[in-house]
Amino acid sequence: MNGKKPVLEIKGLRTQFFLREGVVTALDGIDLTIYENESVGIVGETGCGKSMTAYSILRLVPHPGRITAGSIKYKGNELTTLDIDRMRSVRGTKISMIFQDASTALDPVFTVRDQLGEVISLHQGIYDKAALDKKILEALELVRIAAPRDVMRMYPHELSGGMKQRVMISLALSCSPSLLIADEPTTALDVTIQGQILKLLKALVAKTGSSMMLITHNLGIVAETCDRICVMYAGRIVEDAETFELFANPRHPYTAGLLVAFPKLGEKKAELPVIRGTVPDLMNPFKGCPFVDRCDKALEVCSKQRPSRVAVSPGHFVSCHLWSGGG
Amino acid sequence: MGPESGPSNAGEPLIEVTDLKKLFPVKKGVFGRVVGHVHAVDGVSLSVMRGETLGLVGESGCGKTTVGRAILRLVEPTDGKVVFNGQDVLGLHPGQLRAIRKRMQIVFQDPYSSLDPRMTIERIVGEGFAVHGSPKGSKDPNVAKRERIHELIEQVGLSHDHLSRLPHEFSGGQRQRIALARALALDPDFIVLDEPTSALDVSVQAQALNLLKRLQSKLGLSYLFISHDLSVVGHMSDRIAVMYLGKIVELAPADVFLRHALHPYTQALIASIPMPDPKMRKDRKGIEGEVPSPTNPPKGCRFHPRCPKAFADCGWNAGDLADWLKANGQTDQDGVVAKDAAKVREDGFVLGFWLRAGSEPLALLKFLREVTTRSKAEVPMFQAVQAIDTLIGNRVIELRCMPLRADRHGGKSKSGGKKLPSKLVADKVYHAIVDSYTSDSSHNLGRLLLPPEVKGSRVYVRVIGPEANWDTLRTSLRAFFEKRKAAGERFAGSVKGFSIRKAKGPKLSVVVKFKPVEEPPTYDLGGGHMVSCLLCKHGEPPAP
Ligand SMILES: Nc1ncnc2c1ncn2[C@@H]1O[C@H](COP(=O)(O)OP(=O)(O)OP(=O)(O)O)[C@@H](O)[C@H]1O
Ligand SMILES: Nc1ncnc2c1ncn2[C@@H]1O[C@H](COP(=O)(O)OP(=O)(O)OP(=O)(O)O)[C@@H](O)[C@H]1O
Ligand code: SF4
Ligand code: SF4
Ligand SMILES: [Mg+2]
Ligand SMILES: [Mg+2]
Repeated sequence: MNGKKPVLEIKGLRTQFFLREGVVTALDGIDLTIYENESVGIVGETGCGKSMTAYSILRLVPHPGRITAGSIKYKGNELTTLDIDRMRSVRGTKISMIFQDASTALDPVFTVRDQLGEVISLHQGIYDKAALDKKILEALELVRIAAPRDVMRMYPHELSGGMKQRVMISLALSCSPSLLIADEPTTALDVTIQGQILKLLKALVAKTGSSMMLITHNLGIVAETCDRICVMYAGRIVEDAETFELFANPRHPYTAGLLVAFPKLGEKKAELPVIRGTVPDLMNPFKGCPFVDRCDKALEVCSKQRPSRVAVSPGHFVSCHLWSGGG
Repeated sequence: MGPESGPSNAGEPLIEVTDLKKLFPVKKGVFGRVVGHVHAVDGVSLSVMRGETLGLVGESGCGKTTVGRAILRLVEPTDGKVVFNGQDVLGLHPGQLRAIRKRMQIVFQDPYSSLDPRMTIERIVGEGFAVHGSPKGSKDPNVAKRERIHELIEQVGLSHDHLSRLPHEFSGGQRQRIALARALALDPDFIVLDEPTSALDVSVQAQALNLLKRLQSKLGLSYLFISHDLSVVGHMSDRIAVMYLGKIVELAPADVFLRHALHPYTQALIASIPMPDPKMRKDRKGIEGEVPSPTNPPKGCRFHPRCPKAFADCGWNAGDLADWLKANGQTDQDGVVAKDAAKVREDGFVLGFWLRAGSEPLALLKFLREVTTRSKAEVPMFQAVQAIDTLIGNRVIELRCMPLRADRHGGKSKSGGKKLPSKLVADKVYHAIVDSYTSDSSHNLGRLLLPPEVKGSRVYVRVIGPEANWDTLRTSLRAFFEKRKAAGERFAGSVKGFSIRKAKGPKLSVVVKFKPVEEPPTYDLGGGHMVSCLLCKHGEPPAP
């Protein structure tokens, strides 16, 4: 878009879990491009494949799952076939990740100083204690931790949720990655702390010039944070567009349904519009559109044929027969 | 429900909670010594009218769940009053409590852990009948029960063939419906909904919220709707109460609330909600800092350390200054403060600095005075500083504590007839002195003292101030313990000594004193809008 260079290009990505009971298709043909200096939001409900998209990019899909089709290119280099050592160096230096639950990502037996110090000395080659301490302090100040000197000496369990998430962000950014993947970075936090963390993430991404892939189930968060949004449903991206366009003109019936199902402060309604039913089981392969059982606008073709991704306007893509039929 | 049940007029309180308190002890060590208390709920008053939804919002740990559980006596409140339909719930004996529990139910947040995984849906929904008896009806009780369960399961939008299944076969939204059916089984009047939709996805949440509203209007239910999500609470509630650290800081009818919320915390909550509309993208004016520990909540207004509007009298104290010096890097400046340990007096309103050898008290004094003058305009904390003084001399008054023997005369005195080792007497002495800082003004101990130090059976009271004051203070201390002894507190009689000694260790040198403050009162702005914030006193135009 606008001559910007892509950082990440995903085409036809499929990730499946091979269980005794059958095959779960967690990702079913994902197409996604993230450009330089861009923050892209991935939204969708539980189990739609948001985290699996991130794990697939980093080649961290847990057993018994694996990538079965498609390609993931980081600045032109294919990641799906990269050997493990090279992949390891991509993780953490080129692409780094922040998880929802910071306590699982921080090592409980090491202090904040130990953990930040290790990453910084590894990536920046600083081993002198005084110089390293200075860098660690800077890294903590960057994420606006109060009393960083005290925090340095602390263990993860001594930190509040918000402080842990700040340390995580500091860790993730300390090697200046080109792409930062944040998987529900504020879901476990209180709303006032969530605001602080999002503000911080936004400012730091802008400052360092990285791109960001922000995963969340909260439409409000992507609306405020991201340039572009991908809406996922049952392992597919059903609609993607620039943020303003998506909220102004949601084209996919699922997106439109989600936008109105959200109670908004100050809007009193007797009843909220709902999307009936629940998300489908990914064990059964879909012949047609996975949303067909819940869709009020379904056509006959919807249960038979998979809708393809079409542009409804420049940069606005939808996978829905309502739009591919009319052309 | 017998003669107590009055006519069910709308607009009449079904539940009235007054000054509810719940403290949880914080224990430490192998013997579980109580080292403090979590003030989970600290003086909450609210009412829920018939057919009404009262929303209760606030951040994690502010005490929402504890309020809900204490109303139902699922935790025993420490203090306060709960009246349900004219009946004092806290005074009921177990039998009466069981009868009233039929009419008050609770639905928990987690639809995964609140249902027994080994029980079929039919048994889960019918659980209440096992305790309270089958539903009324002329028929065979088993038939009546079955019919009722069918009716309930339909009411929550599930079907009969779900009844024989186990909880794990259901999605989160369906499990929450099952929990709701169980809560409705005994025809309650009042349901505490504790984050009923927090674990659900947006599309499923909308279904659940609609169901709750429909059931309410059909069955005339009253809800206490607990959530950390202000958008959801705003959608569901007739009135909204905001909690912060165990207290309700603002309560108002929903429409007033959304337009005229006054409390800075409420405003911060509203400003923090990410709006699902990019056109409303705002430069977040959210608030800084995190929620402090409920074990030792901030003095004065509990929100003052984070409040963007705080005034001089909002509760600033020595702890805030210590934090501020740390956070603002002032500790490094001149190297003065850094070398010297700051110590906060127990009641929180005096900060003392222990100077290390070679430090210059006058430099520290100058530094603190300068910072105070410089920052007064921007940082209201510095307006609350009452005095910054140097201390002359370096003395202590030593109190020697004797062991307390068992009372031979049957132990009628207040302190009981037990034997008390001298160390425990010293502990008592320490607390008596500390308590007197705020509660006993007649001896004026708080005027001059830093925290006493306990070493074994001795208690050392720091003497601060000009030489002439030492004797006055010694006299005050003596009089203080005489009075306690006369009041029947035996331990006071075993305090001996009162000798002035030279203090060992680092030299105490500078103190910063703050004016002690109270919690802000609750202001009634009319129309059911209540706020606990000094903005009302300082003349912020209240909501029209
Ligand atoms: N170990 C596994 N075995 C089988 N299926 C799995 C496994 N891990 C994930 N899946 C499937 O992959 C799908 C996508 O999961 P993913 O974690 O990406 O969802 P998500 O969108 O991140 O959801 P959430 O919002 O709950 O985090 C899920 O439907 C899940 O059933
Ligand atoms: N049984 C208990 N023993 C000790 N402390 C407790 C207990 N239950 C709650 N607390 C403490 O009381 C305070 C209030 O807890 P409560 O669960 O009522 O908060 P909440 O507002 O419901 O929070 P959340 O939004 O996280 O559910 C917390 O600090 C909590 O740690
Ligand atoms: S493809 Fe058909 S079923 Fe799917 S969303 Fe579009 S109209 Fe609905
Ligand atoms: S009383 Fe009001 S103005 Fe003062 S700190 Fe509390 S919330 Fe802020
Ligand atoms: Mg996930
Ligand atoms: Mg709770």
